[in-house]
Order: sequence, then structure tokens, then C-alpha cells
Amino acid sequence: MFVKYRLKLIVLSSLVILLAGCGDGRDNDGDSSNNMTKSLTLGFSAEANQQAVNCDATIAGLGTAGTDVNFQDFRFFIHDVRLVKDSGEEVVLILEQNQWQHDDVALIDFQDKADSCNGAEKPIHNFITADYVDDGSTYTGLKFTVGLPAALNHNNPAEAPSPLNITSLQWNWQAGYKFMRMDVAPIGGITREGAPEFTGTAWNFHLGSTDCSGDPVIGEIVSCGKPNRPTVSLTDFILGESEIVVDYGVLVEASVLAQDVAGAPGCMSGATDPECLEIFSRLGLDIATGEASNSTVQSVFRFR
Amino acid sequence: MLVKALLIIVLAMTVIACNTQSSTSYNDEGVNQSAFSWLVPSGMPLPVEPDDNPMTEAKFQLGRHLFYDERLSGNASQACSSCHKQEHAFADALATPIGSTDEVLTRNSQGLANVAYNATLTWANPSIVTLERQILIPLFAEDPVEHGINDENREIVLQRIVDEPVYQRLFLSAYPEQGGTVSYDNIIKAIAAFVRGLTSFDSPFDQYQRGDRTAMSDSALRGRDLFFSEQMECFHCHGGYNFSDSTLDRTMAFVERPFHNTGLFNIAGIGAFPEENQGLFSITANPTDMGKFRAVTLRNIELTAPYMHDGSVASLDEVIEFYAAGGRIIETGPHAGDGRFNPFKDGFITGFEITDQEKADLIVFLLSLTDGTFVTTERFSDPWISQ
Repeated sequence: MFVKYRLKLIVLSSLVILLAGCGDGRDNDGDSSNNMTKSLTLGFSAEANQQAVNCDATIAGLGTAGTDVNFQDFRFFIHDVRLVKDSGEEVVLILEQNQWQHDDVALIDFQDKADSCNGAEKPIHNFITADYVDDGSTYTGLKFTVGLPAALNHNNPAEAPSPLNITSLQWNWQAGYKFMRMDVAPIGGITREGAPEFTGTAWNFHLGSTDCSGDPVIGEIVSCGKPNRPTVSLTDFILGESEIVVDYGVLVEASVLAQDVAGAPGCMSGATDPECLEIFSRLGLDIATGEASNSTVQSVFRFR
Repeated sequence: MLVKALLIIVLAMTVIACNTQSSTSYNDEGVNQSAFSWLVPSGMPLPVEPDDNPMTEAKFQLGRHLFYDERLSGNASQACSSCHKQEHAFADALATPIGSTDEVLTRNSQGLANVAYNATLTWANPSIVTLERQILIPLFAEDPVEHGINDENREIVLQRIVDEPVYQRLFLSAYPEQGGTVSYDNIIKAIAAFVRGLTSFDSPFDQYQRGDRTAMSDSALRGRDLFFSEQMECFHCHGGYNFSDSTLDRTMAFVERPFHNTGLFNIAGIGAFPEENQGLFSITANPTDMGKFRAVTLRNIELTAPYMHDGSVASLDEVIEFYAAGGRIIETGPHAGDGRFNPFKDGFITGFEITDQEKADLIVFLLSLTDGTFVTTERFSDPWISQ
């Protein structure tokens, strides 16, 4: 409760600083009187090969081997969402606090059946709702970071508020959360070359911070050697119209979904897992450092 | 450096402690104070208690009931005690345990004696430093499934606990300020309190240390000297009062969280360990962390066979042979390789010569670390049996 309040304060105060930065000192009073708090809704859609992702869809021809898959999970967290003005200045969105959004974190969920798509129908959640302070600018871009911020990633999940209390998005062996969870069942299963005894049914992608250490109990700060938080910056934004597409087809475009060379089947963020290299590249991450790549930007998210 | 600084601190404290006749007072900042009966002998430091989960007898007793309750699993078939049995010092005598949905786990079930003193929990994970964090893994893990509590059944499982009349009293007495709320957070904190309270300091070795010169045989004493010798080097990793170099208590100013590769594998001659069990490497992805695991306590080691992180060594005799060889040679199969030449092997594992008599003495010493009280005391036993 206290943490939540404090974080909100931080967000609010950084907004004030940001706003203060907007004025050029000529007529601050005049500027602020034009500022209005407005609400917005930003929609997301999930697709692969131009087909919508849901539990019942079979999507054909994914990856370099043209694998057909059924989805088992498709969820991800984002945080620190900002509008970008045509001037380049950024405006932080203040997320509405509800079961899908806590502090500046929102969960986007396309898994429409529980229990890895084997269970009862459940609602998806494909939008965020937020307030922002509008000074009448034109907004031409959108930025956000995938995952949870470090300050929330190592909280106590047993008493965390929704959506941070979802068991299947907790990643306890890394002392944090899964930032993205996109699991597919390739039709025909997964094989491993030279290992006839290897059998797999799911090609999983779990993104999260790894290489973490530190004990908060004795005053240490939990920090992760590989943060693995993709940053997304999209241009040609049209307020009220633009929808964010997350494209699984692009994510796995250079992957072989029917095979696993080594490591966890699929990619569970292991820095030496061969399946992670191309996936991380599509998210604009450097697999070796867990930081933004110097050579590639993310291509998984785009506007429609 | 750290060790030296620690020694100085310990020495300084010892000097102060000896001064009981003088008027010198020493503020130990609560080092020896606790509302809880730890059953830790005087002179032995107490474990760290998390600020948000101080030890109480009521929480310990609630945790004891939960620890032994199979209803705390998805299909109501598995309790913590299913794989952590008191008669085995809370290990389970299997190479690798089996989860509630019959999945075979990849790592050996650890004994729980003195885990309150572990600097890290699980076999090799620098990010799991509290029992509260560790307990989340067996309860909620999906790969492999242990207790199998998930988003679909977590409310059902919780309701089973709510519906048990015994728990209404226990939760109220453990969490009176909350009116006895039954929540996963409170469940985990209570189990952590019980496990944290599983202290073991009453072995013949401890009795001997406390002055009972009859507690250890001549053979055990010879074995002790071998254990602490530079010939065997056992004590480098299994040193200190808890026989592990990964030990943390509330007197310590500096924390060390070491992990070691002992040369169990050397697949393909490149130092590799089997994919499902690569130790510290699987957390850090640092190539030199391949095959590194935390040195477990040797207290009650007689009762926690089979040994090593994967339960692949059956007896203490084989363990000693393995260390005497300086690593394990696997001739054939997918894990073939000469572990003695694992490039990431700990520098203290170099092999040694040992006679049959010496080996027998060493084993007698290790058996003197068995705490009969720990494995029989009613305090740590299944509370549902007597109810």
C-alpha cells in the first residue's frame, strides 16, 4: 500500500518536473491554465501471419521451417508508457489502477482460456487505460518498456496486488516475474537433432530478468546482471486511432519452432540458449548483456 | 580478506565475551535475543530473522501443521513432508523426488537441518536468499511441477485450509493482528518460520564440543583430524559450525555466497554438466559458473543419502572415493567425460591418498554429526498424527 502510494508520488512528481521542463519560462501560468487531464485507451492486438492469436487458432507456416502451432499462452507486461509530442518531448501516462494495471505496469493478455489454453474460458485484456496531462500538443509517437520495472520485479508475489499476483507469470527461480510468456504447441511436437530420446510438446518463450542476486533482508538491493527489458518506440502515432500490434510471426521469423537445439525447449531467456539469440534480436535486446542492442531495434511491436 | 576481517571481529567479540567478570558491557544489537526458542546452544550465533517475518512460536506451530499437510497441493496429494522426512533429517532417501503430478524432479531433495543459516537456498541460486522466496518454488513451480498450485486451483487449495477447523485457531494465534487471515503470504511465512526453526546442534560432535569427552570415539576423533587436514581439504567448503562455507548468521558483517564445481561431470571435455543440472550457470550464464553448486551442511549427512545435487552418489564411502579421485570419470553414455579435468573445478578438489583405516575413521566422524534429537523430537514431527 505504502509502496504503491510512494511510486505514484514518484510518477506524479516526475510528471511535474517534466511539465516544468515544458515551459520555456515566458508564461508558465498561461501554459498551465491550458493543461487538461485527459483519459485515453490504447488498444493492442496479437497476430501471427496476419491471423489473430487466441487459444483456438491454429496458425500455419511460422518460423523458418513453416511450423503450424496452437497457442498455449500469450501474455506480457509493459510499463513506463509515454506519449511523444511532435516536439520530441515525452508525456508519462498515469495508468488507471485496476486488476490489470498496478502502478505504472499493465498486463496485456490474449490467453482466452485458462490453464495453458486447456481450461475454462477467461476474458482477455487487450488495452490500457490511462490519464495524461494534455497541453494541446500533437502526439506523434509512443514509447513503453516491456516487463516490470526493477522496483516491482522482486516484490513479495504472495501479497502482490493484481495483476502481479498471477502465479503463472511469477518466475520464482529468478526471483522475479516473466515479462513475456508466449508458449506454443507445434503440431507434431519438437525434436532434437541427434537425440532421439528427446521429446517436447511446447516451444516456450519466457522473457525476464536473469542473473539476479542480493538479499533485501540484510539491506542489499536485488539487482540483475541481465535486465532483459525491451524498449519500444513507435512513430506515426495517431491519438485515438493507432492500435499496437504485437506480432508473434515476427518474433519467431528466424526460429525453428519444431526443433530445439539445446537449453530449455524454446527460449527461457538463457544467455547461452541457442533459441534465444534470434528471439532477443527481434526484441532489440543484446542476449549477452540483457541491455538494448546496439545493432537492432525491436520489430515485434508496430502500429496499425 | 573477508575471512581475516571476520576472524578479527569474532576474536574481538570473544575477548569481550570473556570479560564477564568486569563491568564492560557490550551491546550485541540483539544478536543473542529472540522472542523465539531457537534451541541453539549458547555461544552459537542465531540465524537472521527477516524483519517482515519475525519468529514466533505460534507461527512455528502453524507452519508445522502446514508443512505436514497434503492439502497444500493442487491435487491434495503432496505436502512439504512428502519429500522432506524427519527420519532422513528432512531429506527423502531418493536420488530425485517425484512431484504431485508424478513428474520426476532433476535435483536431490535436501535435508533441512539448520537451513536458517544458509546464505542461499536451493542447490545453486544466488537470487534465492530467504526461505520465504524459496518456498514459492515448490508450491507454485510449473517445470517441474512439485505441489502443483496454479492460477486455476489456488483458491480451491486456499479454501481447504480455510475449511480446516484446526487452522482457524492456529492462524488466529499466529496472525492475531490480522484476525487470523488465511492467505498465501501468511501460509508461506508460517512454513518459513517452521523450517527456519529446524535447528540441529545436538550431535555427538556437538556434545563433545560442549565438554562431553565420551561423546566421540577415538576413531571419530581421528576422522575429525583428517576432515580438518590439509591432506583432505574437506573443511574448505564444509567448514564452520554448520559445515558449509555458505553460512550466514546475525553476527556476520560480511556475506559470502560461494558455489563450487567438484568435478562430477566433464561432458565432451569442455566442462559441461547435464543440461537439466548446470548449477550456478543456469542462473548467471557465466561460463565459469558451470557445474557450481552450494556446499550443503554435513550435519546429519548419514541420513540424507544419496548424495550430490542429482543424488548420483549412493553412499558416504563412494563420496570419499569420489573426492579422493579428484573427480568422477564417466566412461560411456551421453554424460561421458573425465570430471577430474573439468576446467571449472574447484581448486581444492585435487584428490588425495587415503588408507582403508583413514576412510573408516572419516566415516565414523561423519556419523558423529548425526543428531538423534533432531530426527526424533516431537517438536519437529507431524502434528496431525496426535490429533
